[in-house]
Amino acid sequence: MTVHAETLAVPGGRVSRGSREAWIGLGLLLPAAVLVFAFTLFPVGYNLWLGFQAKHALRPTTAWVGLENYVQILQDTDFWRSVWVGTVYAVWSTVLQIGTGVAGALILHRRFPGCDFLRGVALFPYMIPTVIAVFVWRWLMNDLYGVVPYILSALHIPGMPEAWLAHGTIMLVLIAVSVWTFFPFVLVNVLARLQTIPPELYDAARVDGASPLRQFVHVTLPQLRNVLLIVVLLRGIWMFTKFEVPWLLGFGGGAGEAIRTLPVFTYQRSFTYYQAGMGAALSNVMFALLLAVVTIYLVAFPPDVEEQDA
Amino acid sequence: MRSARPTAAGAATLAWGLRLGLFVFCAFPLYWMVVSSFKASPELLASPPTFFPHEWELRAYRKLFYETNFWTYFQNTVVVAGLTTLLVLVAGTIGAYSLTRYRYPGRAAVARTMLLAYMFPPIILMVPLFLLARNLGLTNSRIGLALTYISFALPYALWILRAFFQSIPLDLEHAALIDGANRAQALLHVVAPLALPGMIATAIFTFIVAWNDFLFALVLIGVDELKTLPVGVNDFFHMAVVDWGLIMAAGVMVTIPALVFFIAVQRYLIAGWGAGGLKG
Amino acid sequence: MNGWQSDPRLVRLVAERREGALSRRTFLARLAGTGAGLAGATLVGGARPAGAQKRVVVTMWDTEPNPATRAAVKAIVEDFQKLHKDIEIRAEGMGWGDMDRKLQAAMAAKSPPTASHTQTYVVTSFRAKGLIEPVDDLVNAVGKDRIFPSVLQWLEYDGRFWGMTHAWGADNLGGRGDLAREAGVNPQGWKTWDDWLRDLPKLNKAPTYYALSMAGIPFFVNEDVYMWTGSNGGRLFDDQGNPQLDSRPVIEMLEFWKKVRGYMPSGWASHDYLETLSAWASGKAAQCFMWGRTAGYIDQYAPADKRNPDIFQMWPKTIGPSGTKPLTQFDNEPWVIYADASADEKAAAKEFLKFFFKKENYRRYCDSVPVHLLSIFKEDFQDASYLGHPERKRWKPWLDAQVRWVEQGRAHPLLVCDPKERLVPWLGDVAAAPILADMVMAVVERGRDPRVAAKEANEKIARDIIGKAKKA
Repeated sequence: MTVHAETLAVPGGRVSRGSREAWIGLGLLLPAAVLVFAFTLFPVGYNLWLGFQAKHALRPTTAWVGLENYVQILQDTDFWRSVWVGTVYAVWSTVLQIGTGVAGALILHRRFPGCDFLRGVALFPYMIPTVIAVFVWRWLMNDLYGVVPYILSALHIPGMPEAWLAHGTIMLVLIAVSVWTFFPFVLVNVLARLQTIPPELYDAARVDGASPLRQFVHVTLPQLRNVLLIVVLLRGIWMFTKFEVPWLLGFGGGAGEAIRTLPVFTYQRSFTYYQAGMGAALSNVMFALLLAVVTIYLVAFPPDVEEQDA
Repeated sequence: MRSARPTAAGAATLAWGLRLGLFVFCAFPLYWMVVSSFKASPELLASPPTFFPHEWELRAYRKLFYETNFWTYFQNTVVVAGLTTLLVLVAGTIGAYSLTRYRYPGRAAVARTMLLAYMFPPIILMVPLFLLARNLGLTNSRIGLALTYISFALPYALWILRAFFQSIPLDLEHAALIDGANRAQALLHVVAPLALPGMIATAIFTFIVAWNDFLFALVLIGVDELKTLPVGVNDFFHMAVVDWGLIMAAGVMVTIPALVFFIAVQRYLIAGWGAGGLKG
Repeated sequence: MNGWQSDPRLVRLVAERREGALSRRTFLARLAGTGAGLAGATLVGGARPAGAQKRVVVTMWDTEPNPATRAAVKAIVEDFQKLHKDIEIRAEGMGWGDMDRKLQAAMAAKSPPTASHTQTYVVTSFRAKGLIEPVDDLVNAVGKDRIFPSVLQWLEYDGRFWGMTHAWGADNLGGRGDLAREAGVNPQGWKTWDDWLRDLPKLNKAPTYYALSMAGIPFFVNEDVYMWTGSNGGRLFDDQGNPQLDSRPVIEMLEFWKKVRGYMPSGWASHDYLETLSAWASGKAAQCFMWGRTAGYIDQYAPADKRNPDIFQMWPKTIGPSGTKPLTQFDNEPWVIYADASADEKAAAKEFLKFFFKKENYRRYCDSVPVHLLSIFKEDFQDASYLGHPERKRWKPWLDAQVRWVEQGRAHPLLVCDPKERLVPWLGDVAAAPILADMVMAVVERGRDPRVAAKEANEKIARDIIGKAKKA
């Protein structure tokens, strides 16, 4: 079913074409490589250097402190707390995005009247600028004017908190906003993949008398494996480094201290404690943590490698 | 088969229930934005909240268009996002073509290495990026902003396009080359049309990256005439009197084009990601 | 052939372009102009073309981004540029938090704006590091004797002025007259925290309305921390700048907060300061801590028949068991001029500010938010044309309440309980960091013992702020 990419053999070959081909290939890749690395290499290098400095964010001077920033980070209980809070957020919001995205894709997979419309509706939250999305959710969940608490109280659902944007529950709101905004990314990837599963596979299963659930587990899921592995990876990385959503929802304090994730904590070191060196060191630590987790993930769940190096 | 009938009816009901649930989950916040944007201010803060305005008011929209620079922000955002999308598509397409059609060492590692760029939290890249942009004379410039977004969008774009190009059979290109076409012609006339859905999907992803960014637009752009929507709308929160109706109206004006757009393009989007997902 | 660097106009042009002060199009247009001139000059030997005029670009960041104020600033800038064709003023307005972020990026790149609004504690810090310049000439030219002494007091360090306040305001306790009458409460008789606590339950009809709305976002929690500590005779730092959070007045303040908490909306910890204003205006709260701009909220969100100072009253702030006089916050943000800018730019910025503070121009600015951006000139408060503005007339009691604080000298800038604390070099760092707010939340929302929470906050300030500040 998959077509393996091969080098395109140009007919009427000339001698030593191989190395010339390689150079042309590299040349074609160059613009993309330059555009990516020009704007990431310098910032990353700068941060590596800055992590060894003490620097007040509002002053131009720096002082070399060696590994002190890193030593202090590892001893700081607030740092470990933010790692924990950030992990809880990243894991739950990713899991629920995947769940909602897959469910949404299954709902929208087969055509029905109004299907195109509903597909559009299900995708648009992804396009709303975060500033607005978070604001609208703050408004929906507000304890004084919010419509959601009002509906919940009108329905007399027991155990509902008086205020959602409070210490005990703000994490739930954060996860809800994130799922709402970002699940369309999962939906579109999964839905697209579903559309390419050959119907014959289901026919065969049906002939065998498999229930819809069994069909999902035995036919659909294996087909979705690769796309889900990549989507989980990307969404996991993006949720772990997500800053704007927790920041705009909680502003790093008040009830927001319950959603002080690692990116928020890092931001606060740089921009509210004005410790630019410490902030850089923290972002390097975050990078290292992610790299470790991603490496483990890729070893544990290797995507079907279809491309082999020449 | 006969006993399956009631179950089928039940399944249909369930399916419609699920569709309705999905619709409410996605659309309710939008509904609330729309309704709020038409309410008179005191009604906005009424408790209990009203689900339908007692009186429809256009005040917020009038204010949005006549008293703020909303339209300027909108245009800037479209220009920056459009430029970003165009450049990402060009660089991404030839880059992905290279990754799938030429043989050289490290080819497979490249796409993965580029995904590493996502592991640095963007927030912390803000200051060094500003330093860089300033030294290149790219602050207060829409091009500078677009270049920043390109560096964020390209790795994923390259990844989708690469997967997509892999799924396009080589035979067609062979045929074109045998007919005497050169590589550029083959790419333009054979590969690109087949890759169109993938390119549309990439374009949309890229457009959204540029459309939604707040942080870099804030730092790289100072003057009001060049601000993008997220930064411009954010300023509404710092007015002497924060006008929730105005903010809701801005939200609606940003959202409705997105909604219409997605309803129109979802077909290509799904087809594009699907074919790309083949390899993914 | 010593290249373009020999021509100062080109050097300047390139520098401006690099700073992003010129758009690419203007840059290219001017480059074409000078380039032609340069070629001509090389040929004929040094003659300068008359057409290429040198233009000084001045970047000024302010923290008043609302449309009315922007329109006023724009009009003033346009009038100024008619008189000074050689100066281009780029006035950019943004929220306070956004400016702080932009300033950090700009400082890291060693390219601050020419001038900006800032806070008193930033003046202290920047002055100590030589990042800003004294502006005595500006203050004198505008008229030192015309300005409120308590405005000037915070700008003066060792006999020199380091900033020039753009407009001022003072924080007040706003209360609903109608709700007080309904509850049979007489707020004007309140003197102490105990008086207040006695009446809070009567003003609380939750969930219809709450007795008090307060913001839980760190920046605003900090405001209440120092206002209440100051009203309780305490301070946050000793003369050496060491934190005093475990002192009795602070502990009592935390205990007090815990009691007040019972009469606030349960979601207060996530409320923004603006939400507290709309809660008061819309009748969801009987009281809130407010500024003059709240008048705009009332016009927007309160029922038409209630938009007057008989309903929206000014109530007294009370003192704690260890205090003698209440303390309030003084919004006294000065314009400062950055030392790194070129001499031309700095001179042009001052020229513009002199123009800005001229009576007719300054009035336009103040009138853009009439009861919020109060004039720094004493004479205006005797001036019928200033006081006669319909908004100021309508909200006269609000104006009087603010002036009273200034006359009593009990309006202090952020985090300054005792005037000496203004000199604490890391005051600004503490103000921006969430340490004080975390302390309050630990006690009020998470039930931590005030002494333990205060001790932890002390340690954090010592380690994370003072320890770092001494190094960098």
